[in-house]
Amino acid sequence: MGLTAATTTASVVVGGGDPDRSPTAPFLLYVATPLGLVWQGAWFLTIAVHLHGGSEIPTSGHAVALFVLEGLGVLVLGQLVAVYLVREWRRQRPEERRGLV
Amino acid sequence: MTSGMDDGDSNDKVAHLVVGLFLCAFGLSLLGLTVVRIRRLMRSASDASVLRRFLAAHVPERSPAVLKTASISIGGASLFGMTWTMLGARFVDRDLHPDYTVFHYVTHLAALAPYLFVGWTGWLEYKRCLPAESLRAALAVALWAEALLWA
Repeated sequence: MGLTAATTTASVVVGGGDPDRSPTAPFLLYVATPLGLVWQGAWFLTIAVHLHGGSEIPTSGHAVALFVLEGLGVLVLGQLVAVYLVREWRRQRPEERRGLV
Repeated sequence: MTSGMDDGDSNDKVAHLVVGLFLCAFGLSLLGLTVVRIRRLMRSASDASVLRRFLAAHVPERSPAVLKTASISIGGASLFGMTWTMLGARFVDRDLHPDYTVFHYVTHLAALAPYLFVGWTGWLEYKRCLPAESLRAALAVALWAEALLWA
């Protein structure tokens, strides 16, 4: 939760970034906020699933395994988005990529 | 024991499920919006890189429709959560857990109140009463408050 808050704060401070510098870091900070929200949602779902089986909020010990699985889920999601974007980029003609058309 | 506790703390289960689904849906919709916008930018011809054009066009958020939808959904969900916590647990589910003091409910209301603030701030940004990036700044405040509450 603190990490999501920190990245969101950094994203607001950095904003669109400096036009003379690489846009990668501001963009990653921008995307980190919704990713953090998904991460937190997954954590709440973990608690709900755990409460379904028992009556206690999961402790850090048995939540770690579920967290790792959720992290992998987010990773696969990001991977699919990256694959999709690269395929879209490759589908364009070279002159379109250079902005000549 | 009251009916809400008979099936293993049902109110807690549903409440966490609803919050989890909302946060996942909200985050995924923002990610989906980002993908759609990048896809559109990739189709348009320009010398600048896609990321640079994305940041220039969408940071800060300029779409009134996105601001309106985001503020209403966050504010509405927070209000629903607060109502559920205050009324649902006490009267609908009769979830009067013996270990739950008034501070249990106050803690959860305190976690939801900053998100109501996010919705309200987003609405004011949509109405141009507050500067750009107000919603995201309020979201950062809400996330810090949540981190502080459960630290």
